[in-house]
Amino acid sequence: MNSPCLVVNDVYFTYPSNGVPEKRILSQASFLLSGGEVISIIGENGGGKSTLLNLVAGFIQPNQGEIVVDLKKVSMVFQDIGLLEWKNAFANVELALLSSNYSEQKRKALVEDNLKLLGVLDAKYKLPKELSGGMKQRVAIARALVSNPKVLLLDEPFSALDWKTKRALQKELLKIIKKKKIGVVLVTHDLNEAAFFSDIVFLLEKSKLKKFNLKKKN
Amino acid sequence: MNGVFLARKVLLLCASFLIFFFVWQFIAGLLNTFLFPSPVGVFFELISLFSSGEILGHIYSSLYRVLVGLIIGIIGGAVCGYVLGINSFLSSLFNPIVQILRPIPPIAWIPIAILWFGIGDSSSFFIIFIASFFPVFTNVYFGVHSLPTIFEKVAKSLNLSNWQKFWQVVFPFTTPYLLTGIKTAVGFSWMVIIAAEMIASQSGLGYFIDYNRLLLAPTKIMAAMIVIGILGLIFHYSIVFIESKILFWRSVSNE
Repeated sequence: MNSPCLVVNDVYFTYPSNGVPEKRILSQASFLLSGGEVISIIGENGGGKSTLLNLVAGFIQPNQGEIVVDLKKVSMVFQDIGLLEWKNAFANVELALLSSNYSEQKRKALVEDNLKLLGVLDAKYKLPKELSGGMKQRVAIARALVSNPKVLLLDEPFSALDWKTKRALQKELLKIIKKKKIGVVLVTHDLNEAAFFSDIVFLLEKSKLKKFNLKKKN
Repeated sequence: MNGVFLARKVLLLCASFLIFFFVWQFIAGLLNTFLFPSPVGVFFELISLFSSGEILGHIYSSLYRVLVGLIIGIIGGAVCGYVLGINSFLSSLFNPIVQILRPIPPIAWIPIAILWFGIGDSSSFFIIFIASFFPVFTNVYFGVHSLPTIFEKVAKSLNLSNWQKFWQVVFPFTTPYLLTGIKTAVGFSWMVIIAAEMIASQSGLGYFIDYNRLLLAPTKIMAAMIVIGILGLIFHYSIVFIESKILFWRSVSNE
């Protein structure tokens, strides 16, 4: 087995109370993620699944426990997609390379490679408002992959897509993930999606992560 | 479709002007006094003022003051809006002061401006700076605070530096707010420049209006008022045009 690219060790998290009784979101959360492995977190809406991703992405800090990951090697695909409306598909993907030292030529090549990989190269000069929901999500995934991450965080990225588009995108993404050996944490409330997409499924219930045994259907 | 839409718009515009001038002419005929000149009289006065060049120097003076004051006010308001919008410490420190100064009408600053800068361009620049600073500041500050959390997260997850985040995310997102602030500032500037020139100047359209009040020449006053309205309209539509070019990524209203 590869060495883990993400270690979540005994993490606790509670949102600041502001006078309201505190509600613990996570307790004793622990798991290891290796390259090419997909872990899904399933659970009810508002149960803390996205909070776990926000912790791994470094947007918030745990109250207790540790998360070991190279944040520069973490990419995230958001449920709200988050494409910048004033940038076309190409510029949105290129944004992920601005902090790198790549030349403009190298950046262009990388962006085009990733747009091609996700099947949206033809739409590179289109603004987000000119793209369909599925295409927007493909561009968002290309943006997350272009910086060559070791860990990919997916926050219900397929929830707004129709079944056919969803399954096609999942298949393509799974191929890319396995080929590039990217460790993935997928948050979803769809058990079928988790079963299709993941190697390991965790159920987040009452702030605790429980391993869920599923036989893959594909 | 676009042609039909445009023709309809032009027709409505012509109709609105015709109704305005018809009502004006009707009231002028009814009152029949030299204190309320008719639109025809004002129209001929305008031609005379432009052909003699009498009003041109005053237009130039007012335009010059509005442009200089606006540029300083817009830059100042935008810079302060972004700095205080982004930095919560500076915002806590300075925003209360801004909020105390903001409700003071720019015209209330005229007496103190005369004392500080004397009669002339400098006091007009100052008054227009005050008039344009606050709408730009308020809009930009609000715009920065309206940045959706998702864009904050995107910038962080893409490891953008603060500078990159500002130019790639914050500034483009807040451009519509900035332009709204500028449009309001332009309107305010034309309002206050006239008042300022009536009190603290020896030239400009405000001075021209007040001077002709002393000469009991209402036709010239109304002609100057129409010039002010047209200049304000040109400024407004210039910004709407620039807005439509900059904000190509969203639909722009033609208000």
